[in-house]
Amino acid sequence: MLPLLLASLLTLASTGAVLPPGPPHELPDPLAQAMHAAALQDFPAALQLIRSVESDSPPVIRERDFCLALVLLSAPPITPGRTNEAAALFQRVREADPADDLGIAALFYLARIEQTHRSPPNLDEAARRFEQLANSHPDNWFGQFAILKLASLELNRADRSKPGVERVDYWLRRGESITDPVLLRNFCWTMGDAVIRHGGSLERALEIYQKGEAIGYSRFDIRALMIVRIHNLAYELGRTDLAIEAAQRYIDEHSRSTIVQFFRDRLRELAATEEERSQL
Amino acid sequence: MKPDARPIPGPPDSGKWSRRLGVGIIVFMLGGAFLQVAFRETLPDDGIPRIRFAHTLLHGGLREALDAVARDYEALMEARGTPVRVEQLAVPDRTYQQWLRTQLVGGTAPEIVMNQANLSTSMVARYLVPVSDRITEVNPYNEGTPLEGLRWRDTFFDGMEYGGFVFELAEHHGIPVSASTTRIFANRRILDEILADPANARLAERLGPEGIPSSYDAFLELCEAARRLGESTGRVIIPIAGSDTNAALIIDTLVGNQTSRMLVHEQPLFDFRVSNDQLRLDMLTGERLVVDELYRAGLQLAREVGRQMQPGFIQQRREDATFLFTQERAFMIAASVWDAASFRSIMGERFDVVVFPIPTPEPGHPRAPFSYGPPTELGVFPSGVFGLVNIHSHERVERALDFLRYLTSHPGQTTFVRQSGWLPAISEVDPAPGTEAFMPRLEGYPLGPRLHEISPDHRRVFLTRLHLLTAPQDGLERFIESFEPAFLEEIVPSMQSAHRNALTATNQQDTLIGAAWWLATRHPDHAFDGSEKLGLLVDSSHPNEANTLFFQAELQRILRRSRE
Repeated sequence: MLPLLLASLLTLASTGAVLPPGPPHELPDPLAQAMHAAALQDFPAALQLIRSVESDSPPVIRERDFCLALVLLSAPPITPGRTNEAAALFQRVREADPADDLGIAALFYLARIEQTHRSPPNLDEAARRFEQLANSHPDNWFGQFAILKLASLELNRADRSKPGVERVDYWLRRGESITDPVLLRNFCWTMGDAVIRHGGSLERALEIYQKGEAIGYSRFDIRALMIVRIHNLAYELGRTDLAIEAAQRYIDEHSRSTIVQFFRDRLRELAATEEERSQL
Repeated sequence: MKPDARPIPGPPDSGKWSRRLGVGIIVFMLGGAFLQVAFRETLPDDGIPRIRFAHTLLHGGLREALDAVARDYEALMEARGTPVRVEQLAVPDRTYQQWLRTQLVGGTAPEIVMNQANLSTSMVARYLVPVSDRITEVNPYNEGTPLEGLRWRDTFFDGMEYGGFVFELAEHHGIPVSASTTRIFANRRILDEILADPANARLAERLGPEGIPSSYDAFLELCEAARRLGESTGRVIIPIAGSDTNAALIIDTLVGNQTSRMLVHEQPLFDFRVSNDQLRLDMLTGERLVVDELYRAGLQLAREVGRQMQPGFIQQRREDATFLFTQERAFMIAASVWDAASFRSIMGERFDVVVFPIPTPEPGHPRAPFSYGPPTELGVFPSGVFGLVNIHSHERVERALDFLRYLTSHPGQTTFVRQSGWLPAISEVDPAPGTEAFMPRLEGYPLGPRLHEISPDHRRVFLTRLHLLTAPQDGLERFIESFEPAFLEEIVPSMQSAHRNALTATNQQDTLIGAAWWLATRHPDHAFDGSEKLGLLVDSSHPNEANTLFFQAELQRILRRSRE
């Protein structure tokens, strides 16, 4: 009786100390609360909540394994042992059903573990798994995410020579299958940078950034950055109308930015050029 | 025990009793812990709930200003029939971080804590309530003011795009209460003495009736005049009080004023930016000198102004510089608006101050020709962030949140800025009389890269050689000779360290992305919008990772080539 009482007191005391107040309490089960905590980077609370889930139901155990593996990747202390444990859990999730959404997500994370969570990384194995995922599930969110990750992995392999513009073109073609707006806008950003850095044409970079900007980025500073790039590329390419439109839009939408004066100067410069043209 | 040793006799069944006692103590303590958690709502003797907030704002007049807002709020709550008491805990800056961490881990933290980079990202996530959803609600305390009906976040002058936002977490974890700018403070009594000297008639004419230098050269002239005044009267008058903090405010502005040209002429990704990685890579490959003509011009200015500070200033702390200034042993000091009230309270009626922005050279200046113009302060955003601690009950957190609504409402901020002399965090609130000079300067240009700020180790390299820069003879050349090789040596380790940190952060975001995806697919209808969070997280992590991978690969190729 006494041990039971002590255990209850401990559980109540500790749970009271880890649960954040407010909406998370309304989530229906400890796994949901754990994932809410993990999404807000509160890994110790997430671990505690996941470990409190007890069930004999294989689907519940599989969900728990997936959530636990996710949190083990980031919860301190991050050790090779924990990374191995996470990989084993993802593997188990995948083996139970490689074709459902959890099994597909597990393969994505197995690739990420090889790419970036292990030291040293196994880039060939990571690329093989991303490739497998992208080919087998091109319509799945993680299948499309795999193309995004694969492109940046393959274009930035330190163990190979710097890729030329033809490799960038290859990845641009592969990315045409991405339909999810979040992934597509990030693909545009990554590939716009890659085109510039690997010697592609500025027109192509501009076109790619414009495509990403049209989808719309969630963060204020990224939205601003894209307008700056579009303006500067248009300016460089002599596309005055677009340069003026982007500069004006930047001034209107980001009037508290420190670089606003650069745009005011540019507008003056571009207007003067227009006048000179009309005088000719 | 020796063979003939006997146990010390004790009362019958003593072992049994001590075990019972031990278990009793454990049960008592656990019960206490349980009761503490379960009945945290226990009210004080007067039955009125408390809201406690902790901060480090010991600057003169600040506690009084926060008290005034708290009393107004209490009166308002009393009139509504829901009385509360608001108590502030002012903790010295030097001990705050340790104190705060102990309070949070020990479960004794107040409901509201100030977080000015005092907590790591993981502690913010662990202990501070995310408020992104709450700041989209209307602030009811703005009723009848020009801000009536606006979402709370839209009442802040930056729309809370930066203030309170934690980029790594893609969440708001606090509410900013003020804003700050940097100014030069000059002792008016010494200034009047300088201007009264007929030998300074030309200078007086240049400064105008307010005695404010409108150009960099006039500022230097003023420094020299202060030095001469000290020499001629036998008093110690240091033209500018320097310290590790105060000197950096001027030096960084002057250097950044010259290097801002890089933002337009070098931007490799066409975005008016040059990343630290790009600068370091170009230096490693020899495509860029460490000290190019822009940085050299900035260093020349740093030398000129540094020579106006007391010897050894870089080893001194802010308190030392404040002491020199308030004791009238230094004529000027660079400080933030937050220090203004402190100066006033220390100086009392002894002397008044003249306040002006840090003067920078005009475009085409003979010694520093690269300036585009004065630096803008458009980048100033609301700071002094107060977070809500999540170890408390929902009710207490809501009560504390309501006080923050009032503190950052039109009436709350009006009281706050009038009493403190600080700048408001929200729009439509007039600055206190006499503080107009601190309002951010909206015209001008951004500062360019300060190369010595590329990494903590580069900063150390810079600071430990600054004495060479301010030496009387050949300072700039001797500084560069010592600085460049030491700077280059730190490039590879600093890049590797930056890449490791960046990839560690994106590794963590793998978990955040997975968790948000899980919530978006398993609980799509819940108030926590997993899909929106997912978009924020991918936007925040993937481009950073791709960028890091690019520079990591470039660095490794360079290192491989140099080994071959």
